[in-house]
Amino acid sequence: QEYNSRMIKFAATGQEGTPPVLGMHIFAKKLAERSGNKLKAKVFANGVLGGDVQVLSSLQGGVIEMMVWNAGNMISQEKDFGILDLPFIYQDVGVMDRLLDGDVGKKLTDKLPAHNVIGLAFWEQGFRLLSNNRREVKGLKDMSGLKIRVQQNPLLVDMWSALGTNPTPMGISELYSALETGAVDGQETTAPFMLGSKYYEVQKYITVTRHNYNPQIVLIGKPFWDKLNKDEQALIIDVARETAIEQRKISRDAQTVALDKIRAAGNVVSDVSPAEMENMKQAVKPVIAKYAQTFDPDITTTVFDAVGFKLD
Amino acid sequence: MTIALFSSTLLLMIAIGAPIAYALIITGAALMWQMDLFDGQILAQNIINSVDSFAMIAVPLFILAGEMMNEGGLSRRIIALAQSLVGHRRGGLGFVAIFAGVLLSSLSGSALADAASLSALLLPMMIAAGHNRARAGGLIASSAIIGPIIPPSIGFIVFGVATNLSISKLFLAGIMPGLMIAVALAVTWFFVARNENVAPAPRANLREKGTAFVDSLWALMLPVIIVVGLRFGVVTPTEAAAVAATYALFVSLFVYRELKISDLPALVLRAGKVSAGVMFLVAAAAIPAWMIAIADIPGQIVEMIGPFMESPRLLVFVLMLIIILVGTAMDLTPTILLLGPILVPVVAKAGVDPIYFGVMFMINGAIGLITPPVGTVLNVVCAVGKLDYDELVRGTMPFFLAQLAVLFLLVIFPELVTVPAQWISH
Amino acid sequence: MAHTLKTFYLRLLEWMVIFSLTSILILVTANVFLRYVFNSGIFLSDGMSGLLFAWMTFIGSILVLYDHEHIGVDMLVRRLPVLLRRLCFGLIHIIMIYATWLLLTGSWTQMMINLHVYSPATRLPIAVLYAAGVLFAVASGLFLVTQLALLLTGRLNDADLVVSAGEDEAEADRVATDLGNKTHLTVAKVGSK
Ligand code: NA
Ligand code: NA
Repeated sequence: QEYNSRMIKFAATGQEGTPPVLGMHIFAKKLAERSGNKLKAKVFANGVLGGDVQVLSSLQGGVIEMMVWNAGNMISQEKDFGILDLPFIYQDVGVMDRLLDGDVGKKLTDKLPAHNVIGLAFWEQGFRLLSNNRREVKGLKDMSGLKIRVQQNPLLVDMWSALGTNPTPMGISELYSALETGAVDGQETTAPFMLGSKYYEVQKYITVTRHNYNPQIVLIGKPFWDKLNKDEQALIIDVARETAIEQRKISRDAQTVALDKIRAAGNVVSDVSPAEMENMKQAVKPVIAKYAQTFDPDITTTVFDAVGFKLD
Repeated sequence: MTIALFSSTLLLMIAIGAPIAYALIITGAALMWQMDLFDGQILAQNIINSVDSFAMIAVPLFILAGEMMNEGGLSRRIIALAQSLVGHRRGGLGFVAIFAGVLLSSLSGSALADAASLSALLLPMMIAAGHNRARAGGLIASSAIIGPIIPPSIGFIVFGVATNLSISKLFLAGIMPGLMIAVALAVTWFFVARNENVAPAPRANLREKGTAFVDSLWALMLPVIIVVGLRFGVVTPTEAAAVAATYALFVSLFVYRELKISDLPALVLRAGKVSAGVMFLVAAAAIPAWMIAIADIPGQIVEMIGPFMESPRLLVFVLMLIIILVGTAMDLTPTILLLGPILVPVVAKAGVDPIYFGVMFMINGAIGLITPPVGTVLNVVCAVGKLDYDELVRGTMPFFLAQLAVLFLLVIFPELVTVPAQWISH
Repeated sequence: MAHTLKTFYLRLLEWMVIFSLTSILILVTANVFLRYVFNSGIFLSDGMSGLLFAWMTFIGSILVLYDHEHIGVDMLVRRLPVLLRRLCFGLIHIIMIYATWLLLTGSWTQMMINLHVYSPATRLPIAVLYAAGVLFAVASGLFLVTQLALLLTGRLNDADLVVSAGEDEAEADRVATDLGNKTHLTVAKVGSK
């Protein structure tokens, strides 16, 4: 095999210690080992190289080489990726692995070279949970009127409105102090991210809503990709996919560990009964219906069949 | 190597007279070249992404609020109130300057605006009353630099954005140290004024005090709105700035009626241009900052100063000396932009509370505004008060020393910053 | 004719700054108001004010450049003999033109990359943001080239050899002229009102 000396800047906005960033370190280690220290990846966590949107266009412009972020966010490039953000329908990670490593993952990533990036593999961040400072939330009616910070994404804003909350889109950089001071009542993200960004310090009630599942997409910029020879490309794909197996396991363990730590810090952690889960799912059905028709019907059918969801 | 290239390019560019913003862009380009990463997109992305920031919008809004308060008569009434309360003491006008400096700093975000109104309104009175011109100017300059320490503060906004720290926390942590500096200035002035033998102004009677208070009530509401709004999470700093500007506009137009609608376009344009200048600097500084992140200069510094990392106090002490030195020749915003992102990760690693360090940085950077050769506040006081620069520098000396004493007291007892910050925010 | 055009161009830039800052003020204030009075907000408020802010910064920076008011340190240069000052002036302009050129190519590339990428916060293409960078680079680049041409053809006086407002004078002079004529509004008067 022929490997040249290359340095890859690998960026993410997550904190050190969160599952995606742990995956980046594993990737870097494996890549160095397998290429005889020729291909090196340097990890830049915590958004030091910029926000997600900025880093993605740096990949497209050839300034940064690799990144990892929420796969659903690729909706900004290719609308079909929005299907990954549909709420409450993804509950079984085994099914998700099969879909993303199989047909659906391939269909989605095949659309990316046209946008000057290559999708290498799917990792994961886990299930998103709801936290707030107002009251213990055990079901749909407890959510009513809560002011929740959401990502600036129309689908997610619609979803939180459908759940009866008052969604407030806000930049991530202002979130901690907004929670601390009470400008918003709550936020929603995965347990490891609540831990890593210390939101649990300024929140009281956590609800295991598992409302969204966040697969991560590992991207490499096409301008850089085209400079690589076949051996290098094959190795990078191989290492990214091999890392996926380890990273997903780490992420799945991390969810419970993080939740335990948050509970130990004094937060009230509540589960949602299956009946209440069904209530929430029913509440967001119109939103799912609205957005599902904007995605490639082939993908929608495959996904809905696999997870056993019907729009009626 | 990277550090050397960074500082030499920057200094050379500044020395031959390039605007600091362009010097920063060129320094960024030099680093790109050295690291074999040469691409104009890095410039474009960093510049554009740093202006695409909601937190930074607080800058033009606070500048706008400051302009409106100066033009609309709010600042003037605050000074009148201070005078009616403490003007009758020996050296009373000096205490008025300090007291008004504190009040104004809770209204405005910058030392320059405070220096301008204080020296325009109080300096002629102090000189007429028989105070030494240089001492009076020095006191006013020193009182004005409380501006960026007590919230609102454009300095803290820039610092918070550049280092990823909570602006609200920085704001609230700045209140107590700002007041301590005021006390230190008052004590110093007490001794200075004792030697001057200036007859104090007659004591204002209760009716006069009442009138001054009622007259300034509308202006006094503003800091209350800002601090309460931030403390209880009613608003983010950017929103606080918008509310402050809207409130100042309302009071100037409809209550004090010193501002006419027809004055507004010019006023808004001026605020817009001033903040564009500040923002362009912030944006330009993002380029070398990005290259510095890639080269991991904070990591290199941590290794270099290894022994200091063991003792947080000693580390903070050494860093304070460095910032004072940089501050003699550099304005507040560039100092924050250059050193903030490098030093905060370093001190955090050594176990220093970053919010505490942010406050220390701001006090120190603000002191830099009254140290020669480049002291922007000194220049404002000189220009407005028609003073000689060197004379003013000498007049500032006792107050400068008092502020340094406070700074080093806070190095030895960080609790003086962190404990009140806890009280205020909990 | 050329003069009228120039005035029109400058007024246009100025009104764009005024419009942007006023809109930002209204959007952010209205958002706070709506949140507390109607428990709702303007979905696009943050995004739109961010975009306006970016444009305001770039257009404002063009105006600041035209006025030679970008902050700099001219302690050293001011003390140099005229010939050396001319040399520095030329050198700085060449470097600044180069920086502007870099910014132009970078902004252009990014504008093209983001032509069909929509910001969820504004629902507009992200290219609109980078377009501000392109406009800034073109407008300031042309100005810098003109300045350099004037220098080389010997049409600049010694007094025109200003690149930046010395760090000190910029604010101070403005403040002095703004407030100098107001000192008659003494505190005593207000107190006795
Ligand atoms: Na202030
Ligand atoms: Na100084």
